[in-house]
Amino acid sequence: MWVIYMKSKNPKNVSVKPKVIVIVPAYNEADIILTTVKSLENIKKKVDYVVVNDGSSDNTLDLLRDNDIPHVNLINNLGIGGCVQAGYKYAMLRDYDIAIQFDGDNQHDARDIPKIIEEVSRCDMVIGSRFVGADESGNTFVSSMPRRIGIKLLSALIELTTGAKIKDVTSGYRAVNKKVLKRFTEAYPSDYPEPETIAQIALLGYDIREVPVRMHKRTTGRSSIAPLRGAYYILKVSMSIILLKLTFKKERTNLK
Amino acid sequence: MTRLKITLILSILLFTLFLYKKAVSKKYSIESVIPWFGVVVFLMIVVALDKYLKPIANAFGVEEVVNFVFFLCFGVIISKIFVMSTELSKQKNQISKLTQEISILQATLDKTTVREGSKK
Repeated sequence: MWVIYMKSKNPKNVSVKPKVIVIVPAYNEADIILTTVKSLENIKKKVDYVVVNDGSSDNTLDLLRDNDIPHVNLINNLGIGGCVQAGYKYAMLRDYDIAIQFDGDNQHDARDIPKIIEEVSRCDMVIGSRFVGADESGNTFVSSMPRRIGIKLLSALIELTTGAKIKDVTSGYRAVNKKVLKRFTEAYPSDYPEPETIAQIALLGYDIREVPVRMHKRTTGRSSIAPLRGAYYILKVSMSIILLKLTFKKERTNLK
Repeated sequence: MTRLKITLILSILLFTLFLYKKAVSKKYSIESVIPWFGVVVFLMIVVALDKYLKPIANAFGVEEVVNFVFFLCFGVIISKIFVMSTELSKQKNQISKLTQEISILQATLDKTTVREGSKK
């Protein structure tokens, strides 16, 4: 069904100015989603956006409908990976050139979007980082010590397995160009996708860069990674990255 | 072996009845019932040929036939669980893909991704 629908789109529709979309995954973000959307509408550089409601059990969907906010409503809760991938599929279907992932909990700062767009036009994937150029970014959010250790461990593992030096591997503030976008519509991890996707893209030889961004402390809801699940998170992601590395040759052959 | 034999025979009878009811009520597809009938047949063979199981059990390094039967059942259950988790993982991916595609198509049909009055 998807392939047929994709093939029905006009492939010759190539725009000079890149079409940019911001994908906002949202699960039970009723308290903050309108603020997040408002922050996107207030930036100088106007961009399209779509909120992907991940089967929220609160009234997130009602708010999106009542306020006429562009959205895709997932009929089941798929978790962050499935939710974001739905956004990428939507972006691909609508022939966007650049897709930016932007959290629905207002932790990310929309004022950094123009900087991210500018950078992604020079590479394949841009990570909005809390750890590069932290002084000039105006970042007000500092992770807890265990989380920082976890991020460092994953960062080291990614560097070891792929050679890519990325400091903020768990950042969900990221932008991709069309090549990576297409890749993400085909394969995207379901749980804790951020570090794994960096490893995946780096192994495929794409250019990944980091730009300093502002991030704010979450004011409502809770993180998708509860403290007690931290250890499981590290284990699962590490295993996935190692498996990716081990099976990469086969995958690369399949891609050719 | 006598007590075990009685237990196994009773279990086989009850389980066969249960499987039959499930198959008749169409709650289980025939494809799902067939492997369990295979288990029933296997247990019948164990009960019928218990005399010959001792040397086989010993050959596998198991002293008692009763332990060997449990060992075999354990193996069958583990392999069944493994097959099921593989199938579950596959179906999870399929459900995820279906959910995404239906939701995007639904959004396109309902125009929930387009603001009223805009030409997006």
